[in-house]
Amino acid sequence: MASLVHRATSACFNYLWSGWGAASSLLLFFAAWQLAADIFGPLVLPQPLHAINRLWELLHHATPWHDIAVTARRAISGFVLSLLAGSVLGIGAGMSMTTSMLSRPVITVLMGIPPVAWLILALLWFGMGDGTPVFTVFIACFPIIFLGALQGTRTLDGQLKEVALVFRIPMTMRWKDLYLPHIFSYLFPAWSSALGMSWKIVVMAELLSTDDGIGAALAVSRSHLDSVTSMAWILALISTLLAVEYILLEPLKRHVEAWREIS
Amino acid sequence: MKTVSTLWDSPHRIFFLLTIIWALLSMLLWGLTLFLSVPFNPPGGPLLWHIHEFLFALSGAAIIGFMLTAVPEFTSTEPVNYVWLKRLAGLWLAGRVAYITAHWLTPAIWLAAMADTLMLITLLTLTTPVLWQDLTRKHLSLPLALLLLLIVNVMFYYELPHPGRALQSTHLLMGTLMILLLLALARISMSMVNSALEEKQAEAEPYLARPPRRQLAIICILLFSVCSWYFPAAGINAWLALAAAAAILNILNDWHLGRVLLRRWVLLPYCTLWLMAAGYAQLGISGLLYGSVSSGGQHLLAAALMTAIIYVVLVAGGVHSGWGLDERKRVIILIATALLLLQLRALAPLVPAAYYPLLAIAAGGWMLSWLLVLTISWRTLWQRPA
Repeated sequence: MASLVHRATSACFNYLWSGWGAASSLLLFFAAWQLAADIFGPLVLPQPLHAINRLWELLHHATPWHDIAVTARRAISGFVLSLLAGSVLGIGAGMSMTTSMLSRPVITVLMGIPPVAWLILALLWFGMGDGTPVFTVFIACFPIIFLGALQGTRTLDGQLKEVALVFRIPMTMRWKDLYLPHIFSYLFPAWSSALGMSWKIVVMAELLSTDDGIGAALAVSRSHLDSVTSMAWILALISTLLAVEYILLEPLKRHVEAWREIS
Repeated sequence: MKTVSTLWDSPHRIFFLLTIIWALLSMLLWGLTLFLSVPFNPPGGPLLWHIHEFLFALSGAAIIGFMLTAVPEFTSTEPVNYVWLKRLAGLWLAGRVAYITAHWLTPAIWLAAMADTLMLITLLTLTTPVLWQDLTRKHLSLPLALLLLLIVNVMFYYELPHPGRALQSTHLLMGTLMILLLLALARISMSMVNSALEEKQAEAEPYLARPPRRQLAIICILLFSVCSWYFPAAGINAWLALAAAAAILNILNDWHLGRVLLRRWVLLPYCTLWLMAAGYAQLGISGLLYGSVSSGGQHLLAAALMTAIIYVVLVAGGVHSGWGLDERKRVIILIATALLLLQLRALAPLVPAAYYPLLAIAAGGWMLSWLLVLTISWRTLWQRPA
């Protein structure tokens, strides 16, 4: 037990420490931001430190936490719905050549429709409220995940499948040990892209359709020409996205794809 | 047998000895100027002399010793002839004497500039063709960094009539030395850490100094050094310094291999990287909070450099002289204590009331460290094992 705790602590420490590379890259991005702020002036682009200070001030009040929670709820709801539907339907479609051929043009059409067009439709269908941003996120992320799942399933090694069938390997084992690890290597990049997209779309949807959430707060700061507060909100948004990506998705990806390193 | 000829039979002997002697003499002269107000005013002022001679001259001797010892080993070629060692040592010495002489005779500074430049050109001429001919060409980053050092040092002398600008060019000098330190440390640590791992447990995961991590740190250091030289007051410098600190901490991912870190010859380079990261972090934080570069951060970087030089002198000196590593516990404890005292220099600006006493203690730490190194290295550098 002690050994298990020690290993878990050590793995956790190593994972957290490996974040320094990403931190360095982000700090270089802050340096580029600072350079741009110095060139264009504070009205166009505030300095990163000013935005961080403003975010710090905002977080001392209850409202921003509420706005962040509302945006996170909407983004995650839309993302989880598209993740479930896109993954299951994509894998299902990938199982057969016919369904793959049938679904591809539809997915191309869905991907070609800009999210803002979906937003207009959603406003007509769901009105002002949670439904509009959640639906817009869902419909914009769905084709990405569907395509990832479809591609992963279509590229399964046919010979490997035959060998598994000849040796009568149970279905649960086939899926758990053969098919899903391969499909995941296509699904994870799709999930990751969709997650990033979900946050961008939810803010856009909130900006136009709701009176709460980060998007609505951005609309208020824009109307006041307050670029520092706008950047502070953008920082809050990106921080939440990074937290979800690196605390949830990345450890899961490493765990699932560990077989690649061993092989 | 203690003979003068022993000193010239291998590059590390003479140049590591020059490093130690110069560390002691230059601190003595700086201490006399700083604490006893002994008049010493070479071109550009005593502060620039202090920075240049502590950074360039001290590291320069160690770099020559390291390069001329390591390059034949990396490429399986013959070491350079002792005549070249004498020429290089003569040029190094001429540079030091000429810079001090410039206190009385200003034009002597140009002699110092010429001697330093010729010394680096000679070193590049001796090492670059050999490294180029090596099929893998994996050590070409070393002469590239040396070329950068040459350019930066020429710039320093060129800017010397304008002390403010010359002071800015010392940021580039520090950055270049930090890059050289990372390059050298990666090569030495591959051997030292893996040896320690083999001693400890045969089936342990091997240590790899991964190039991408090192390259990220080098890019960040280079960007910070160039920007803080060209735009000294720009806010970008603070973020770049923090990026450099994070990139150096990222290198430590390679080092976290368990209890082997506590082995003395592994702990010292590991601490060097921590000091580097702390130095850049302090530069970044002070830049963000006060809008200026702190001398405390620069001194932490200098402490990292000095720790690395001491490490190279003790490890490469011991191994290449045939004496092996000094495994006495008190050696590392004493050096670590002296190095801790030296860290007070970085804290001094934060405690204005005790500024000079802290500087004096730090200077004492410096002298003590190098005296210890001299005591330990005396036999390895002057004598051949029986």
